[in-house]
Amino acid sequence: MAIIIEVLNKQHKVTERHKFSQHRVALGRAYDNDVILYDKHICPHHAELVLDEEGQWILRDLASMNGSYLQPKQPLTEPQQLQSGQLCWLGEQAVRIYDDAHQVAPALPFNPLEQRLLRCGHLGLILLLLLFMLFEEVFHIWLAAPEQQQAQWSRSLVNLPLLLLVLTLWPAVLALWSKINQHEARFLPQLGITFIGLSVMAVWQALMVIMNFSFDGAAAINWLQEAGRLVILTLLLGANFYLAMQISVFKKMAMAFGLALLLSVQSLGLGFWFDESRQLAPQFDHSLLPLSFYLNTAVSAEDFAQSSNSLFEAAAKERQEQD
Amino acid sequence: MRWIWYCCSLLLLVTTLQVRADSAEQLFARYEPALLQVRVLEKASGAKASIGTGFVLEQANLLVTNYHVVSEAVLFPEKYQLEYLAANQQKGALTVLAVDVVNDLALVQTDYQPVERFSIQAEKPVQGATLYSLGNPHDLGMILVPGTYNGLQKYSYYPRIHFTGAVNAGMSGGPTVDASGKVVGVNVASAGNQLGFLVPADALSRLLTSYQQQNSNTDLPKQIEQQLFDSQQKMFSEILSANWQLKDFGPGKVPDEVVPFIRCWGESNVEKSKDQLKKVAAFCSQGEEIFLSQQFSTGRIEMQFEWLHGVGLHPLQFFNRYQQNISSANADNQASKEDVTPFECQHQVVQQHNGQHAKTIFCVRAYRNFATLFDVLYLAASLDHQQQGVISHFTLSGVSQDNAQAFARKFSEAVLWQ
Repeated sequence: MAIIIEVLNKQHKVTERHKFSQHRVALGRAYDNDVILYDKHICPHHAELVLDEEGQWILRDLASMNGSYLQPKQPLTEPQQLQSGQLCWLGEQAVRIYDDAHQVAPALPFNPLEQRLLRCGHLGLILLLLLFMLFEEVFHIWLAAPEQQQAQWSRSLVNLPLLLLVLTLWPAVLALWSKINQHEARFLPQLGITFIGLSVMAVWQALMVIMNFSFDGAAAINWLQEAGRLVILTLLLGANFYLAMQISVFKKMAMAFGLALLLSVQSLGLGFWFDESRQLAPQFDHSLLPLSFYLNTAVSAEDFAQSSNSLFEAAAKERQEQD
Repeated sequence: MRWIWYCCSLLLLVTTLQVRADSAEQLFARYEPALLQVRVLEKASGAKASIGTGFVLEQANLLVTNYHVVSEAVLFPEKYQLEYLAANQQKGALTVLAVDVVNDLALVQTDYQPVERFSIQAEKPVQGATLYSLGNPHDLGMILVPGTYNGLQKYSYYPRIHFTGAVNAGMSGGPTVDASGKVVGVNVASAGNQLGFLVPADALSRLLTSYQQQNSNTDLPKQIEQQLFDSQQKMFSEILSANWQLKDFGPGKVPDEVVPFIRCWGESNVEKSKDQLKKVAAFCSQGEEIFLSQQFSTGRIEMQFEWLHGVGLHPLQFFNRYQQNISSANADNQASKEDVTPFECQHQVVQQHNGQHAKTIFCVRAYRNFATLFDVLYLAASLDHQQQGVISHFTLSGVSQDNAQAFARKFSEAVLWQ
């Protein structure tokens, strides 16, 4: 019966895999071993695996300096039988033993979601999104700085590459993370996903500016905007984590939602909580766009004057509550 | 011959100065005992929080000072108390009996009994008459400042005597007397450089009469509320009944100086070629305010008009800048959380009578201690043009709901866009 020996790193990821058909396998740092290990705490001839008469593999420590273990902190004093799939340590080096009859998990079908997410790494798509985001950024600069303020223009344009660099930081961090954990960086898909998320966010914001103006800064629009932002952010982070991590989908989405909520609360909640209720300055919607962006029907001057009665009532009520 | 002429004129000058100085000296010597320093003491520390001057009237042994000198003790009697200090170092407690916040006067009860007391001059002085202002500037001791009567302050809604003479902090509440020693006005404010302002003596007479008529009513907050209400009622009936004159402003017409006490100014950046956004602005205001406390003033009216024209700007660029111009509208009177509620606002696109559209903002806050009074803010930004906009804006402070709404109606109908 053949034996399979997996050499593991500190995170218990497989770094080497050996298969032997002989009855005795020697492990150690010396070059005459069957499995040559590098860990400096391992003796030249550290341990051996022997097939006994019953057909069981036995681990025998060869009087090594740092010992061999099947349980942590319990060095082997005599040879021990091993089960297929059992973990053992030579010094600090983890090794897993299988026999060739060991069951393996059934094959996984291609994950359509993962395939789709990986397709976001298409270079053409990324370039297109990049152009869109650059256009959006330049549009904002153009909106704020009219032609003649050249200095402001050039200053803002110089900042653009820096901005793009910052935008690639997040996918880079994710790629590094998954490179460490899964030997697979998937940087381009992560970049593509991030760019899609940011672009959708930009479109959503622009839409909400028009909606906000059209509905006269109604509180519902404000909440809709925040809810939309939260959803987009959750989906973006969820997709990021889906590719970068190997935990259950539920955990990934929970993490993404938690982080998105944290970011939203940080940007909106603090200001909302501490300023608005206490400031003496009047809080009103000051959004102005050309009239063609107004999708609602304007109220008549009479109705507006009429509804001001309720403001006086509300203020008077507020006054009484204080008393 | 010329030398004799010089000597004569010099002699003449010296003797006239001598006469004036004599009378001023006599005045001071005669009336100094009737002048008191009014001190607002913080109860916790026992130290002076602020000081002013007061004078004893011959009627009913009442002390007169400014409302703003004693306001802390009126509004926060649990935190502050009043004390007087006489020239002979005598001290004693004071109790506020009546106030007139509109004219910044207070009648105070005292146990101090000077021999000589002040009486009120019923006649108006003639322009250029020499007056003497008495008071204790910056706690330096009682002094006498000669100056000139220059009539009533022009364009001021609340009548004030324009006194050319140095009225300094701490002299507030002191009397200004004519050569016969009779009170012509009460020191109230200064605009620096010998520009002093006095409350006319007839306001004091009116307060005395009303106090004597309703002797028992010492509910000061009630008095103050009634005075504020009556004052705005009078002011707005005048404004609302006036026939508002309009002036050309950019592409439209806006109200000008609709009543004599509302003054307008203007400015623009049209001459500067640097900015593509041309702004023309006009401000109109009744800038005199009624002092209620250190943090709270009221009684102002302010109107603002801005015409913005984005020469060569794309409509989106123009509206982006336009929107920044309306974002920071705020009340123009001072008030703290304890004085007013937060603003309640409505903001909508409104179609005017002539079919024009404007983003219109209307905000209201109530006075916590005066149930009938509000501060109001209105702002309308026209939307019908692609590269032009007119912002019309007003703020009113200490106004009743009826007056505020009537003013808003008249104002929004008066602003015309072509």
